[in-house]
Amino acid sequence: MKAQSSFMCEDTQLIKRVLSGEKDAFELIIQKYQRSLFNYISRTVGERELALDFTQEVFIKTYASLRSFRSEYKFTTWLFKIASNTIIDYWRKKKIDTVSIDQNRDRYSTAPPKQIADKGPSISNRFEIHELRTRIDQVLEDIPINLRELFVWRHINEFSYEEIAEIKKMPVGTVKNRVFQAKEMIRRRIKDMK
Amino acid sequence: MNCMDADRIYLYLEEELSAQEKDLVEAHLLICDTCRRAVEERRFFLEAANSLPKAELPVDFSQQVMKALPPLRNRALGWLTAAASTAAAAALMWLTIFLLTGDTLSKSLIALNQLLWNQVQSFALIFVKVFKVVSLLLKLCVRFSELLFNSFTSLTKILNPEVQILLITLTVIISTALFLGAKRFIFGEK
Repeated sequence: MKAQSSFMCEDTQLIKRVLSGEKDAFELIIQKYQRSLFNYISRTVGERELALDFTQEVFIKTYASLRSFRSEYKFTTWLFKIASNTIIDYWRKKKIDTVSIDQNRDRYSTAPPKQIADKGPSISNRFEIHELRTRIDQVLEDIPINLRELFVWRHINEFSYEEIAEIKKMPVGTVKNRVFQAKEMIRRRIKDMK
Repeated sequence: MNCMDADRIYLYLEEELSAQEKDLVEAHLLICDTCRRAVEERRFFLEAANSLPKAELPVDFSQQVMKALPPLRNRALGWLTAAASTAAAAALMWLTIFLLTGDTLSKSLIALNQLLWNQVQSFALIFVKVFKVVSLLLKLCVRFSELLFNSFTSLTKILNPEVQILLITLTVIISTALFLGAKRFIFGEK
């Protein structure tokens, strides 16, 4: 908690420096968040070059609206909210359904989602861990974007459920439920792979 | 305890359960093979999900972004721009007058001053007339209300309270009817 507040304070200080005309301080902000932002974006859009463009675009948008940032909020939350809106807009333009989770649940899963016992051998018997990682990355591209981004935030960016809930303005319970849904969807699809 | 659903397994593995709930789950796992296998399956999956490889950026990425940044909008600069635009518009106006009339700046300013003064004078005359009419109307209103108040006071002295109440009620009804009638007459039927 102490470390988190010191991070927030550091971000606020950097923003103040940028706003007072010290443009170079923004490069420190970029260096601090570029890797986590790029990892989120590259796993939600799929293509590396596109992800690089989007990461740049998000930093530019953040810089341009820096005056509207309110210091009582967490900078990471604000940054990832901008990123999420950019990505959702991109998928909307591509006319991919990002709205109905329940419809997607029906479309992507053949078994009832809450059932725990699966048919066939377990994934631990079929795959080595490095192989399973590759499979997760492959399947991740096929799950609905609104589940994918929550999964990425939780497992790649290592955000807490509370932080995700703050970014998406959702109740924590809903976030947990959707992240579990994403995990089950990925796991079942890997199990169905030949 | 019944067998666990997937959500509960994840809550258990991610240590999101209370101590009491965790104890219940662990007691159940000791006696249920199906749930134990399900938990191990998800534990292995989570281990892989939590250690996915991180994508790397080009070394000069931050410099590239810095080059692409637009100028930061400055509020003070906004006011300065507005002031500069006004000054430029005034200069342009003077230049136009100069080109059309051939007058120098001082002559143009005097002419502009006279024009403005004439406008103020004519506006002042209109303002005085409007003021006179409005004050006359106000005086009339005051007289009328005084008359109304005096007649009401005289009536209360002459008439007994029951008749007064009756008269007030009738007045209210007639006024409302007149108001509604006038409204319908002005705005038409609805």
